[in-house]
Amino acid sequence: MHSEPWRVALSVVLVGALVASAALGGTFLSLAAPFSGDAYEGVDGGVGDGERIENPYGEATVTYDEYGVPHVDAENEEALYFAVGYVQARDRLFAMDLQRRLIAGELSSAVGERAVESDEFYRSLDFEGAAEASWESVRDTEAGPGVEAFSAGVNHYTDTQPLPPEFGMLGYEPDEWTPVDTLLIGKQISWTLSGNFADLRRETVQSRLGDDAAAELYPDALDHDSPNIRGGSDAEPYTPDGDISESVGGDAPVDGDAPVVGDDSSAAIGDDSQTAQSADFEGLYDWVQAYETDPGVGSNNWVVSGDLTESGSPLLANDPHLQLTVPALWYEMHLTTDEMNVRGVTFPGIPFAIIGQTDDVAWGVTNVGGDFTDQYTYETRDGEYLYDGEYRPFETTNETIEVADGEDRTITVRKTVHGPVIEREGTEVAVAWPGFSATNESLGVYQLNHAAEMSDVREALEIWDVPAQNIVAMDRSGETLYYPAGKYPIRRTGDEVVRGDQVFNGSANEGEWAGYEPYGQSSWDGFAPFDAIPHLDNPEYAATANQRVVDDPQFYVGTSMTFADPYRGERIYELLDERAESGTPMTPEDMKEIQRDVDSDRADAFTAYALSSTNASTGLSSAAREDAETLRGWNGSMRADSEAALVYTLWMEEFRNATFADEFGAQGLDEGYYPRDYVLQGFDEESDWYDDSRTQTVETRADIAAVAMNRTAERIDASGYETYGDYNRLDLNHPFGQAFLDFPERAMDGSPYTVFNFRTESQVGSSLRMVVSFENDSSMILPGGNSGNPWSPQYDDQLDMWADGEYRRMTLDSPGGDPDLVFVAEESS
Amino acid sequence: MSASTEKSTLAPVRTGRYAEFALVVATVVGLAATAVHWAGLLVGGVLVGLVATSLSRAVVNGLTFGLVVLVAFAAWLLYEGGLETALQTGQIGLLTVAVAFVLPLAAAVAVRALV
Repeated sequence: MHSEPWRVALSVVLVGALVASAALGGTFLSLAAPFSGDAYEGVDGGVGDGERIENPYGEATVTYDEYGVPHVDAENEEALYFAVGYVQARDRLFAMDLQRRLIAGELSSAVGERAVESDEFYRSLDFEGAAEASWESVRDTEAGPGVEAFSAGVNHYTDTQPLPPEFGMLGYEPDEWTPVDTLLIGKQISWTLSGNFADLRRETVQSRLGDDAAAELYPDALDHDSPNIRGGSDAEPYTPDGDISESVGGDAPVDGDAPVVGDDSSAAIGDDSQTAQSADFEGLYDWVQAYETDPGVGSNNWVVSGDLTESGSPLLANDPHLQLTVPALWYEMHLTTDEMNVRGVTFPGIPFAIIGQTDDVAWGVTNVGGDFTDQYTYETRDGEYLYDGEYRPFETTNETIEVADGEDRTITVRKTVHGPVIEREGTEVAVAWPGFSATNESLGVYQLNHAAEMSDVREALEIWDVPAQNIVAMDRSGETLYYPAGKYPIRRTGDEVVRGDQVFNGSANEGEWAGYEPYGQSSWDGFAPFDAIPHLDNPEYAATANQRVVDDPQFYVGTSMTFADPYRGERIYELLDERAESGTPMTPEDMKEIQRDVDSDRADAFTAYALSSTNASTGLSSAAREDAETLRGWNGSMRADSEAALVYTLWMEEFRNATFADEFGAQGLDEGYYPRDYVLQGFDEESDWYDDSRTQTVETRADIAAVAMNRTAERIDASGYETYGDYNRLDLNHPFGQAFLDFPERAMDGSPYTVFNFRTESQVGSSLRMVVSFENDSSMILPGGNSGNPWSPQYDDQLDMWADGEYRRMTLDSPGGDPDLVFVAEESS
Repeated sequence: MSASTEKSTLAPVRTGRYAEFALVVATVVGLAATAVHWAGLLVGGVLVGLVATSLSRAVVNGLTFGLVVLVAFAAWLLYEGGLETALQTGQIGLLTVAVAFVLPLAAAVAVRALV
């Protein structure tokens, strides 16, 4: 050894520093070290040639195609779903875990403090309890074994393979996957599509702005003539009556009274049996607003009979509009056994294709947008609530919300016979939603995956309970179908059928849902029978875009607060009518052209209003006048390179605000309470709403249009925007905010109201586009890619194609070549 | 042991005819270890430090080893199609570069100072 002390000292210091950095900075070292660092997990793709994996259920193979779509083939179904679980974990484990945590209210234990409010909401509604009830119902059906095998496959991947980089970066590991988790993901999407608090919103507006105002802002139905079903429907005649064969919770009928059959007049829609209460729910609504479905968001689908197509075979198109996420929300897969062949998309965590096709059947979904939630108030005392003539204790449990790097929270979850209770600032209501009960939509989806003809589809739809969806379907024999399948609650107060667009007095037994048992197995006896649901058997063509299902339905379905504006639906029917009347047979390319359409029907109406600003008594600045003139002669096409589209979009925002901000703001109500644009469109030009209550003069529409145009000019000047594409940006970011994980930003065509759908404020849009043809190849495109591995070329390989309205082929053939993963039957030990 | 015995034990790989070969072996072994765990950077540093002829040579060897690691890493990223993404990792990437130089450097000098 060298004995010079300075050498020894140097050595000691360096060793000490290394030990310290390993101890204190060990996580940084294991995160960022070259080759071995967690951040670089997945660079080499993780897929070995013919990698052999033990599968307890049997043999299977997985071959990935050039877009990262796994083609899974197996000798039996359980082996198949085991392999599906394995590849979903391989490709999307982080997203699966994150979604599960979100809906279970366990996000804070992974990401810390900022998720506490979200966790409080989701725990209060106990989606986990609902998922458990669903699993109880599904486990013994034909779908049960597949769900179990799927879980086993996910866990096998997690136990044996390296985790995706995000886990290392955040410093936590995923829990085991269970069948309840698969059902939980289903609850998540169901709530996103059908959970809303419109009743709280309406009551608050009634209370603060008055009943007349509320009636004008939120009419029962928008006065357009383009519902999904434009003529008569093929529903069986049905009159919901007041007969309660079993009340909520499965208890015996109220007070032993014999059930009375209500007469026809009480069942008619529009019968006003509302109670007089209009309570104020602003504080509560403020909190839950973030978690309800946004009714402006929707989807498009349509089906065309072979009578009108070039091939003589029907065509189907679907583009569901959802949050655009990183990675893409949907996961595409192709599953085959000797008995099934299905290709489509699902949400990671669910083994079955939710939208797609088999050899002989195809289907697509859009949200019905009906009213599937109700809220109930109570007289309460001391931890008890009044119901059915007596005080009962709230069912309570204490939940602990773990918070990473923070203090754990405890909340008390309370439930009544109607459902879970939410409370804010002293206001509390119970929430009823069919999804809190055990539901079987996963079995319905399973059956669709095995469907060979239209009768199979109908059987599957009869099981599809939550969320109610406008299903369009077709089969190879040429049959077409439009069915808004789901469970529609019939509300009853006493023996009278009542509307659902009100907050009910739960203590007075108002608005009961017979046959509904939250967190239990519902009989659904009081709900609308399947045959009575308005639908179309073998239509020449049918299109849905979340507007109301039909005029004058036989039972209460929803209102203008729950259904979407008609702009997309009108436009789609316009284009289909045009093609049908032209006599030229339709092709898959025609369907794509419709999906690419960026002409806004809303712009057609409002442009005239915007131009009226040039004649208003309120003056326009010269910049504003210039901007207004760009709208003259504009065709309403929402293109990225359009200056008029930019002016119009900004002007719409300002116009809406200028109209409503004075009245709403004065009452402490934000834009979440504003009515539909279609309602605004219908106001008379001298409507009171245009008068700014803060000024002495009486403003008309033209004046407000001018005010809005002046503000628009200011915004354009300040922002430096030149065309619509400068404003209408696609900006999709990974939950982490690490630039290398985000998708590249770019300009977009389209708007919230065009068929080619995109909304920049919330980054919502067509989460996939699919066109199915039995005679030619089908087409599919995702906004991003099929892989959740940031290092994979399939992370974002489809993004630009999607943004540019392009497609790739989707076939039921399997790619040739050697499989990437081979599952071998487990050796018995 | 006496200092001279130590020196003569290591002399063949430091100054003898195996010196270059030994440095290559040290680098390869260190690289292989680094592919599996960040401690491999220390292993590589120790080995290239041992075969260095002097303390200042150890500094050079340590830094050079780090550079070799980074070049191999970049080549691997390029081959797997991940280089562009890696260059966008910001702080993480900087940490990678820092770690690749600092750990072997410290290890090489610490060892050479003693042995």
